[in-house]
Amino acid sequence: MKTIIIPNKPHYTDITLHTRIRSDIPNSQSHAFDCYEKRLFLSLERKFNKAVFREPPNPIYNCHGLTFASRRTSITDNRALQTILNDDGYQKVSLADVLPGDIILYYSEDGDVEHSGVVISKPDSQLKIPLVLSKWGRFKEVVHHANYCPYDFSNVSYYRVTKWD
Amino acid sequence: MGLIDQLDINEINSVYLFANTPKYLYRHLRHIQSVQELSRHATLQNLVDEYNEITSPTAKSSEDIAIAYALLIAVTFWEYQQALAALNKFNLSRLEWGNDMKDIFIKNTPINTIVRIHAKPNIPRNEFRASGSSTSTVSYEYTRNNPKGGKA
Repeated sequence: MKTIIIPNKPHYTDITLHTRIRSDIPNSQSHAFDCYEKRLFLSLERKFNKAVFREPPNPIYNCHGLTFASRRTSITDNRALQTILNDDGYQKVSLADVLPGDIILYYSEDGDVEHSGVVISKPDSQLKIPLVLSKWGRFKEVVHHANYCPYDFSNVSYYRVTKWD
Repeated sequence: MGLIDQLDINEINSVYLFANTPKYLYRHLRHIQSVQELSRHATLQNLVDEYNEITSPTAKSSEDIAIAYALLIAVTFWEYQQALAALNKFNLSRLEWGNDMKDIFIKNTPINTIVRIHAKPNIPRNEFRASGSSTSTVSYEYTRNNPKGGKA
């Protein structure tokens, strides 16, 4: 993503992506990093040294692509995310009921989804914070506590697919 | 000192690298103080020229791309019509999210607009007769003010 586009030489592609009831989901795939970006990524890893960074970095998908599109592409449109939540039968889950496999959405002040991930452990008994697998921008997948990341944890919601017809 | 030297490149890069969506990039670049200051110290033409130079079709690093986005965002602090006119001079298609930035600006920017609605009161005719008053035009004004005055 976010590469400069040179005419006749596209740096990104897209795929056909549908919700369960066949609503189109716009998406894009990026295909390259540059050296400078890789250096920055390494400095990031040092900064968040309590997180587990999964190899290798992959520019094809972003966090929403990991959460909702099986790592095949990037989803960047907030309306598309809402379509997925509606069409695929997601419903909110209270923190007390969160289980591994649920998803977490990080909302901005004005209600946009800035980040997403998949819950991989129940919230711990004291701080009530689950472990999450998410993707940080174009960088790597990261296993981290839900509040230990560069995204705002103050407004998160958990979801699970509960409806099927 | 050049325009770009005033920017906090590390902060801009962090936002750029973590951005999952154009809205994230737009919102968080606008929070960076050096981007806000750039918009105050540079003219719109400076910003357009710098952007077009940095996005000229030669090999670019991700740092250049992040700076190009910061220049775009610096424009968004200007008064709406001026900023929009400047954004139309940018070759936005050179950045993957260039046109998204413009769309978000258009959708999110408070507009200094006064909407005047002249409406006759919707009161049954016999009530006017009873009161003996005549109809008159009522004016409602709706104003969306730009909280920062000249620049949005």
